Amino acid sequence: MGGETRLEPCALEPDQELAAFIARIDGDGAVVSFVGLARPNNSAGSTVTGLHLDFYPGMTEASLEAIAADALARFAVSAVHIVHRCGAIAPGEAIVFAAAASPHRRAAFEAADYLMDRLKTDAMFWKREDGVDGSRWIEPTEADRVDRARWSE
Amino acid sequence: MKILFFGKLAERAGRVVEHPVDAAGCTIAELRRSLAATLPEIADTLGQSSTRACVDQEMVGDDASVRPGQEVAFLPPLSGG
Repeated sequence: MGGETRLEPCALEPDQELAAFIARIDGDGAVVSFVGLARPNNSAGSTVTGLHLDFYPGMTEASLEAIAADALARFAVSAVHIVHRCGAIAPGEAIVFAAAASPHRRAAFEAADYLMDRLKTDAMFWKREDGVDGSRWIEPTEADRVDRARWSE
Repeated sequence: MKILFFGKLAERAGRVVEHPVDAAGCTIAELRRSLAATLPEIADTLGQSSTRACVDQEMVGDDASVRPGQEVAFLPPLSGG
């Protein structure tokens, strides 16, 4: 129980992560999970051939643990699970898996929403999008910042 | 001293750069300026307040001081999820 996080250099299999999460919870009535997938097109509509996620060994893992701990402290959830890819990711592959479990559904929905808003802005990754139009480093958008600010006290 | 770069900084300047720092140390702000002078390819990003600094894996402000032997990293804006 509690928070479990993992930085995953290889393929992320969401069905296996969900099954493992459900297997480790005990007595909860609700599990909410989210899977983020690499899109085949960028915001301008051009084809993306792949993503590269750079990370800072040690600090990146610590950032995932801090986000999980914050969710556990903030919501009435008994367990959260975060798996985040690093390295090369092909379009259609899973980048992130985030899940929360609670006795009743509302807290799990809110915690999963919170986990993703925090992961978009506070997880220590740098995402490069490679496409037919070249490569570019992605930075949080204004929408990401607004989403993150929803949880500020 | 060893300086680590990530994201677009690493792409332009490499992951690790050895940079001379006075034995008495310097502030992060001073380090940004001296790195920008020797690495013009990342001068613009290093000068942005959205590029944050870490010393020994702790986020620090521009007035933090660093000494030779510490691990210093510069981090462009994050993009996870």
